[in-house]
Amino acid sequence: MLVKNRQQSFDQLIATLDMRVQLTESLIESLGSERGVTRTNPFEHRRVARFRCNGECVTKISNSSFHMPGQETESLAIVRDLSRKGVGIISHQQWYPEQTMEVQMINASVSARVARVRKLGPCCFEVGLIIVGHEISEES
Amino acid sequence: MLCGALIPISHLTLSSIFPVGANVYLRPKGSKETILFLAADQIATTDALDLLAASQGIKLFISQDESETFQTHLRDNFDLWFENGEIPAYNKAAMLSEVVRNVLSYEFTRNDTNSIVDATKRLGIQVARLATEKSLTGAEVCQILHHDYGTFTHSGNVAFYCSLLAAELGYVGEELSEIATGGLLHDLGKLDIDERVLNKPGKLDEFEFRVIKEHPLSGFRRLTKVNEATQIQLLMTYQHHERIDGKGYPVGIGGDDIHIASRICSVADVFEAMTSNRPYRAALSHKQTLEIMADGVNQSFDKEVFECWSKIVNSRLTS
Repeated sequence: MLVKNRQQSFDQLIATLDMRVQLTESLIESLGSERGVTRTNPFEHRRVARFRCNGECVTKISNSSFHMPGQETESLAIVRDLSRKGVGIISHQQWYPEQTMEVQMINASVSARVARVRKLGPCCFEVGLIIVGHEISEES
Repeated sequence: MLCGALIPISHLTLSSIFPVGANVYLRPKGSKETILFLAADQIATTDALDLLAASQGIKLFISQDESETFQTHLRDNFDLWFENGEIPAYNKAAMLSEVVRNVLSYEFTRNDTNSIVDATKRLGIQVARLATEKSLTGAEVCQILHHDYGTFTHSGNVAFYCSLLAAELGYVGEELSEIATGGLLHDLGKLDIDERVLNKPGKLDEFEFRVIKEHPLSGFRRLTKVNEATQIQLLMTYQHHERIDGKGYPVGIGGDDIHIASRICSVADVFEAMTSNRPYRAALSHKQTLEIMADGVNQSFDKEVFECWSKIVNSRLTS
């Protein structure tokens, strides 16, 4: 019942927002096919395993964070991967390093700090976030 | 008796209006001996300054122990000197260029971002004022600037070029000062790069190039922690290696998504780098540099900004 309620409230939340991410062709392919632990390279200095995801999330800029021109406070994004220390999202808007946000996913909500951003295409930014605090639903 | 390390200073940092707050030592050409030229509380006479300006090979120094006092005096008194209407713009620009080099060299070595931002803000105001000085030609600005390669020399020159360019594009007042300060700060992130990589004379390998490419991000991160840093300065630091065609770094944004101040900084940055001496190559001429840069219009550079800079260089720097 709790799970259902959580699912319902998350669905209600995302229904109020437009998904404005424009996926690139390669991203559409990889989102459909990639599963499990993601590949890495020596330059990423990654210490913990990162798992591929493919779900929606709501990003909300923290009150304490600095704002840049044209940024929406709340928006819908795609969760691309998740690890114990970080989360990767695809957003339609550009985020800036050191900005902090709340990332609300279906089973968890995390506070995160932007580490790096890369544009993949129009309205398509890959954002790497470092988790600074989290709250996981008990029923998950 | 003089003990400890000596730091060279330019004669242009001396003035006949205020003392420099540190003992100034002089080493005549070809000599290994250093003698006291000015005591800390003494003011140089105009004759002595003229003599120094005319002499070749005389070197001036201060003791490293007094460098902090020297920097403080330079900054505190510079505004006063700058306000003096009788001093020609050329002399002001020459001294400002030296002050910028001295202050940046000192501040970058101390590596305290708050202090760097504070110091560059004050310098930026003066650089911007000079850029709008009608009696000062671009040719003179270029003559005054040093063209050896060091992060602080480069940053100082980029600030002068950014200001000239922004002024020509119509920026005035506070925005112009912010752009000048942004020019001074744009390579702040290089303070986090190992000097062996930064000053490597040969070609960079993939790893080293990746390290170098981190500097806009690293500089931006530093600035986000300083309340006084403005949005223009943050973006100039973060975006000055972005390209109009979207193939730059760190984000890969293009066109108008790159802030205009960053597009200005990008042109000034490349022009300055190419016209400066590097350990592995001599400086290119303005003409050669502009020809090479012209190939990058609409790829690396904004067309309007580059054309404006080209106009300044052709009509002013080489006039």
